[in-house]
Amino acid sequence: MPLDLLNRRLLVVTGKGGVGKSSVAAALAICAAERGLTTLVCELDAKGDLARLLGSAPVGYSGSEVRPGLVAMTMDTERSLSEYLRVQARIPFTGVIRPLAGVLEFVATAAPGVREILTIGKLAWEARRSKFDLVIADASATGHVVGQLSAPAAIRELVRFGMIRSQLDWMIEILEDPDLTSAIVVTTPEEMPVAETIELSERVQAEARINLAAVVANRVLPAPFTVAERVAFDELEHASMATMGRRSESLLPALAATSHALRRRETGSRHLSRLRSGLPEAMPVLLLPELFTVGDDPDGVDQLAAALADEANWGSGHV
Amino acid sequence: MSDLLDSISNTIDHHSTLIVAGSGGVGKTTVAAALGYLAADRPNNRVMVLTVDPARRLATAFGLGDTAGTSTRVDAKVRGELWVEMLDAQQEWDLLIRTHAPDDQVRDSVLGSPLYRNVTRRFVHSHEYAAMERLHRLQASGEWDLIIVDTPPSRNALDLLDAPSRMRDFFGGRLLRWLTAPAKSRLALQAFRPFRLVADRVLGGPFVRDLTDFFVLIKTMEGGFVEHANEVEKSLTDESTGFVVVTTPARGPVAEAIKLIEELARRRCRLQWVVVNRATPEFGECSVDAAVHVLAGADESVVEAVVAMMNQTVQQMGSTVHAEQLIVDDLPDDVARIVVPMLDVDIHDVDGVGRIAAHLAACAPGVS
Repeated sequence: MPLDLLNRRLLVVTGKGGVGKSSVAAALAICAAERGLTTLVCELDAKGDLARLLGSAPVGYSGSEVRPGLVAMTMDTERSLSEYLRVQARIPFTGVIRPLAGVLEFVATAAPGVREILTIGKLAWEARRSKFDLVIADASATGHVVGQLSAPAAIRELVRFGMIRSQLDWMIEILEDPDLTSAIVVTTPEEMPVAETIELSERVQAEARINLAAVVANRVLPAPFTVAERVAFDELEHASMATMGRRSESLLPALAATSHALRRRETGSRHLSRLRSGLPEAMPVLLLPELFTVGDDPDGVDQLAAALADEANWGSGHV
Repeated sequence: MSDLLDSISNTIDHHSTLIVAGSGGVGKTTVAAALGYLAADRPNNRVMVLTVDPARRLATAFGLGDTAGTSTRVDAKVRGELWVEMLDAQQEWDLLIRTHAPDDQVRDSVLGSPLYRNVTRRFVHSHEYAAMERLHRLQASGEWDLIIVDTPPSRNALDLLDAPSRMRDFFGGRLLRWLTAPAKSRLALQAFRPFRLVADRVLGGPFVRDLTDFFVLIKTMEGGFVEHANEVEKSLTDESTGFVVVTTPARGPVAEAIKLIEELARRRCRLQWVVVNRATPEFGECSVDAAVHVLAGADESVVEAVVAMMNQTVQQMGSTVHAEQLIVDDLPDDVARIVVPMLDVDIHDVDGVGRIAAHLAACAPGVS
C-alpha cells in the first residue's frame, strides 16, 4: 500500500543536524512534483543548501521554480513580516516601512517567539491559501523545532486580543490537524541521532501537538554478512595473517577495510533495530541507502527521491 | 606535523578558554569532551567542559543525567580533574535577573512574568546569551585551568559570539527607549506613533501594554546587563581564549566551517585548529585477488559473496576518501588541521571519548 504522506498540505521535515535533512526534504519535494502536485519547498534557515541540492542558484523569499511544478524558497522573517502586514493586517507598507525595520529588530531580539511565529505563520498561510497542493518545510534541527512548532500556541497564551489572536487560531487549527499537517523526522542509523529521534517523536506530538507521519532513516548501510559469510571472512582474515608475506601484501589492507566496513554495518543495523523498537509499532520507518559518495548534490538527491518513492510505494512518477 | 604537536600542547597550556564551534551533527560535543580529556590528563589540571544541549547518551555516559546546571566530576582515568556541566539556561537567566534587579519588587515582577518565562524558556537566542553568561561566571570563579565550551546547536554558530552585542544593541535601541519613555514625553509619543498603531492593531492593546510594562522593568537593569555583555565580549578576543572549528568532510559542514573561520578572523578571535572529524580512514593499497586462493575449498557462493563485499568496500572507501579530500581542500591552508578518522564503533562513553582523545594526542605525543 502506498504510504499516505503527499496528501497533506504541510509537511515539516526535521532531524538532528548532519543527518541529511535538507537532502530528504528536497527528495520528498521531487517525489511530490513528479506525481503532479504543485509543490512549495521552503528552507527555514537561510544556508542555501536546499537550492544547491535541487541544482539551482540561490532562491529568495519570493521563490523560484526549480523544476516543473516545484517552487523553492528561503524563509526571511523580515519579508514575512512585511508580507503579513500588507496582506493580512492590510496596513499600507509605505507608511510603516521605517518603524517596521525597527519593530523587527526590536521584537526579534526581545519579544517572545516573534521569529518563530513569522516562520510558522508563513508556512501555515501558504498551506491555507492553496496556491500549492503541498508545502514542504526543510525545518530546524531537533533542538529547536519543538519551540518553533509550538510558538503559535505559546503566543496564544500571551495574546488575548487583537487580530493576531484570530490568526493564531487558524494557524493552530492547520498545524494540529493530522490530515493537513505532519512532521517527518530524518535520522541516520547512529547512536545519537536514533536516541534524539525517539525522544523527538514523543515531544513533537506531546508538546507541539503535531502529527508525526513517518521517520526516515537516511544513509542506511547494506546488510552485514550472513553467518556463513562471516565465518568464511574470519577464516580468511586468520589465514592471511598466518601466511602474511607469501600472499599478496595488499590483501591485508583490503581485509582491514572490509572489517571496518563490516563493523560499521553491524553497528548500523543494531541502531536500526533500536530505532524500530523505540517507535510506536504503527510508525512507518522509511530506509534510504548510503550513497557512498559525498551525496549532498543534485545527483544524490535524485537517487534519494527514487529510493524514497520506492520505500513509500508511490510507484513511478510523472503522472 | 611538528607545528601541530606544539600547537596542541601549547593550546592546552596557554589558554584558559577554548570555544568549540561548527555546524550541527559534526561531533562538536565529542571533540570538546576529547579535548577536555586530554587537558585533564595534565597533572593537577582542573578542566571544565560546558556543554549546551548535549547528546543524551554522552551526557549519561559522563554521569550528567538530567542534572542540568550543576557541575559533575567525570570518572575518567586522567591525572587531573575532568568536570562537565550542562547549561541550564533558565537558571542562568534567573541569576542574572537576581543580580541586576535594583530591588526585590522588580526582581519578583520580572521572574513572575509570563513574558519572561516565555522568552527564556522557549526561544533559541536566549540560550546563547545564557551560555555566554555561564562562561563568564566560570571564568570569574578562578577555579578552572581550562574551560571548554561546546557551543549550542544553532543555525549559525556565530549567534553565540553576537549574543553580547545583541544584548547591548537591544538596550541601546530606539524602540526600547520609546517604548519605555515616560507617557508624558511628547517627542517619544510622536516618534512612536506608527509602531504603536501597527502593534495595537495586530497584537491588541492589552498585549502591547504587557510588553511595555515588562520592558520598563527590564530597562531598570540596563547598566548591569550592558556592562556584563561588554566584559563577556572582551573575553572572546582575549589571548587566553582560543577557538576550535569542527567539521566533517562533507560539503555543507565544510562551507559552514569556512564561513566561521572568516568570521572569527574578522572579529580578531584566535582560531587554533580545524578538526576534520569522521574522515573515512585510508587503508593503503588494497587488492582482493589473493582472497580466492586463501578460501579455496569453501562454499562457492559464500566465497563469491565475501569477495564481492570486499571489492565493493575497497572501491567505495577509495572513492569516498577521494571525494572527501576534494571537499576538505577548500579549507584555508593557513589553519592547522587535525584529521580524526571515522571509528567503527559509536562514541557514547568515557572510553570512547578517550579513543578520540588518543587520536588527537597521536598528533601531539607531548600531550599524553
